Amino acid sequence: MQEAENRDEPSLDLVRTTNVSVLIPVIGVKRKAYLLWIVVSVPFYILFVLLGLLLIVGAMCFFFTLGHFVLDSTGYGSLEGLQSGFFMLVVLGLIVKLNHATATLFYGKRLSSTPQMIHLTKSKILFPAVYKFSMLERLERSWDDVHIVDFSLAVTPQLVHEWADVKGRLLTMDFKSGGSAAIDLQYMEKRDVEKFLEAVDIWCASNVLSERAALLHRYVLCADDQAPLSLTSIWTESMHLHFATTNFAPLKSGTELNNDYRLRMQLACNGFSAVYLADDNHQQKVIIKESVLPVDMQDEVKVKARELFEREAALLSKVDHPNIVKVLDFFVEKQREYIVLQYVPGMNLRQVRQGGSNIPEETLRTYARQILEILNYLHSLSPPILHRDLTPDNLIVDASGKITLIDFGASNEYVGQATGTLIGKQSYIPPEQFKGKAIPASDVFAFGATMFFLVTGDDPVPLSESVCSSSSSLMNGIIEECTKLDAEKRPSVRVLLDRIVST
Amino acid sequence: MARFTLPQSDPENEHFVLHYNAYREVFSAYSIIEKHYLHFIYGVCAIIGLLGFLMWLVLQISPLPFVIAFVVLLAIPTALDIVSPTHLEITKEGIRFLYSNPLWYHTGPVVQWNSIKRAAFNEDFKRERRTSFFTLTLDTTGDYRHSNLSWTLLPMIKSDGVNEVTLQLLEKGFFQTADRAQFLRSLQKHAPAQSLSTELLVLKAFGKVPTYTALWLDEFSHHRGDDSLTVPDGVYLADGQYQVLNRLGAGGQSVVYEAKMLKPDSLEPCVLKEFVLPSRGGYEISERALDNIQREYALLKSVDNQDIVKAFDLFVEGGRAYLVMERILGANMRTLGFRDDFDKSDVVPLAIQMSDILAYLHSRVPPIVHCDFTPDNLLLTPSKRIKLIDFNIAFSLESNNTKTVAGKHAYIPPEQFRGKPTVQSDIYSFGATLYFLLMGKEPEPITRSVPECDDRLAGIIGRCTEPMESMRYPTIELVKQDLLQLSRE
Repeated sequence: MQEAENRDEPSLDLVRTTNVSVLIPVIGVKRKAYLLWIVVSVPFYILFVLLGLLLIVGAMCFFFTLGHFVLDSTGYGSLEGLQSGFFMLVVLGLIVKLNHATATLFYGKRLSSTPQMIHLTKSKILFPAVYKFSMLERLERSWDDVHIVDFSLAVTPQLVHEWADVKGRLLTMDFKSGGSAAIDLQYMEKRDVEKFLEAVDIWCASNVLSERAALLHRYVLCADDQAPLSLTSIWTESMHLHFATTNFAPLKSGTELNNDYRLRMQLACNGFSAVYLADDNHQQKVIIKESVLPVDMQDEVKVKARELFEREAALLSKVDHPNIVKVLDFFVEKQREYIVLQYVPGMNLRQVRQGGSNIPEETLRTYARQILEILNYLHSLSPPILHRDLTPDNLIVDASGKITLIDFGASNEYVGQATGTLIGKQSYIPPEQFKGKAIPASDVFAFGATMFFLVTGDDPVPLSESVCSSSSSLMNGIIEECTKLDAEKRPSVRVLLDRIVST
Repeated sequence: MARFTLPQSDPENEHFVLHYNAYREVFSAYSIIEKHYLHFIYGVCAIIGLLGFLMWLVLQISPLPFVIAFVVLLAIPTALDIVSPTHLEITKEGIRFLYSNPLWYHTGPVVQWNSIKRAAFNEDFKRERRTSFFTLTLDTTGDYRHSNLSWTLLPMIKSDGVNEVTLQLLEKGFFQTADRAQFLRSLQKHAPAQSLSTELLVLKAFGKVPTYTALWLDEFSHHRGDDSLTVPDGVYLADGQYQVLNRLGAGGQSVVYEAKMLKPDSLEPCVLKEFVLPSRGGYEISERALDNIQREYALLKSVDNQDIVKAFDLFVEGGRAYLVMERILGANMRTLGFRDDFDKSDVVPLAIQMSDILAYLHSRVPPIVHCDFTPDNLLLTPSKRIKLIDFNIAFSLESNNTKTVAGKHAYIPPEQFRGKPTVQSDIYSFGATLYFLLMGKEPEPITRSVPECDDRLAGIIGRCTEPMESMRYPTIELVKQDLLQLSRE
């Protein structure tokens, strides 16, 4: 069966499949309500039965034995007792019926026997009878009818952290022609949530996911069962930072690239580029960065840009350092350039700084040492690699405090060179890089600016020397020297590393 | 079941059914209860009812408290449900609200178009949150009050005067830009012309959507496929109002097409600037992106200068926003600057024209800082007129340090790079552009650029491109005076 196959597969492929069923936990919270309903009604049933019987028995007694002696002088017993007894039984029957009817309405028909499934197909969604009431008795809806899919809670790192305890996690699907369905995620398996959201992402024509639902989708996809939940938050922060208008249409989820990668979700897009989460052939998560050069550019510029891209990508794929994300692959498809990067879950330094109070000096020092080691490694390669875009956003920390550099300015750099635009975080760019002549000392400036951010929590003022007055004189000194506007006055990476290690 | 089926919209007969639910915004807490815990309320109701009945039957206790509790409990959600409209129906006659609730499907009274005395668009700032709404002042001498369901409008009534009543429709109630646009279009079309306030007329800027069904089906984006970078030539957009002819080029965030406007009386050429709206980060994000484009459109609309490109229209189709602009024939200054046959003696008269454009922008209240006054954004027409064609980042003055800066860095002065552009920033870009035209190469970023030419012109350009603001020309008028003096001699 289709469903069974889907359950066994490690990953679903909605592009090839046309039919997905999602198990929804009616027997979850709602079971409690249903049990309450039964428990409360049972005493009433018993009461009514007893009452009815009592009346019938009483009436019969009257009718057959004592009635004509006691009740009246006609010699015949009264029927009234019997009548009220029957009346009570009828009422009882009605109540039982009503109870069943309402229970069916709220909880679906064969409540305990069949699992409740939402069937999602390429053309329509079929809801189980549970939703009869809220779906206005039309359980079969086409994708065009979907208006908004919203999630009831804000997806914050905190929520992600305390996921198991959070109540009221409802995914609401609203329909244009009226009606809505609220799906309780508390007892639903993550795989099913993933399937559901992925089906909406791929099959629903228009943009129906709300920001919260999109974040939830991101969380569900990025959450790693092995890693602590809080560490997935890099991909679940505020969405508007990641999305802007583009001059090309980003690829849809489910698209296959290079026969090796299947896109699962779009993580970001802006101007010339987009970032996706994808699965490779071994069902491992990878990050794919896509760059699109304007189609109308002159051919020689384009060829030059492509050469630049391939050279940079080839260079980067030789980088092998535990603190640097690995470039797994790069290719060009349909005039778009792609770089495949290792997927690293964790929080970036910006989130670390904004999430808590001051970072203790000891931790700062380990961070600084690791960043400097990364730079030292990159600069010692031949030819030396300049990072050019070292910012707190590009550095990820895992649970053990290990820093990983996840992004290279390279892909930005080559688009920039081809179009004459500068792309980067201006607070972290030194003057000489701004003038287009990046040197190893430019990365030292970015390092100093990054340390300034870690100490103070504020981005430094662009094109200026940063001075901070923290309790650590070592850090103050390093920041001041590294952010000198004159590149020659900045210390070398080697010297900085020695200073950090020795003191 | 038939009673729950909404009327279908029929664009041909000007009949639209729009999603409108203001209460989602207003009582979001309630809507959660209503949606998900309603059965608890009904369950409690049933228990109270049963208990009351039994008590009354067996113990002969007065059922009154139970009856009251029963009624009240049942009445709260029911009443809130009954007065929350879910849809807005637009017909040729007027508008009416539809209440498509699980309990009861009913329709409100028809508010006739001709009973609208005033229609306006208002904004309200409370606790730094912007709420915007449409207000419709109705003439109540009309007959809608006599409708037996007119009380369902009560929650929407803001004020109730003599012979008139004001309805307030939250803009957020239409969560889809398309619905909001359709409402606006219908309002502008059917409501008496004198009733519309000026803001409402300006609001035409809100994305125009071809037809209701076309939007929902989103045919266009479907058929185009995933990989196509561009709209194919010959495609009709906006319900056949525009036909795409060919691609002209691509900017940082948009693609530009040449198109023609298919009006009954003319086939005017125009330019379509296409923005692909981000579609996968939640619909709120796309709306925000659209807001930015609307701001650019509004800015272009408010500018009235023969040397600045005119904007005609803005519409959304297939997840993309299109800005319709005047088609200007001419050569891009960037390509001209690189050409060997570019006559350097033309630079001074061209510079005077450019300074005119900047002077116009800077004389506006508040001054408009263009922020991207580069050769790419300037066209030279065959009749030697300079035209400014791009306004992409002019409005984004509220920059911050964390924002990724994207721009032609050779033309950005230091203070703009720091996120604080002033009118002097445009003077820097202006100077850098002149340097480029004279030398045929990009100026050195954040340095004083002095071209090798006539000393006085070089001096003017040098003073324009001073990295320090205090050393630079304070206003474009002064630059213009110097240039005029130079050209006279």
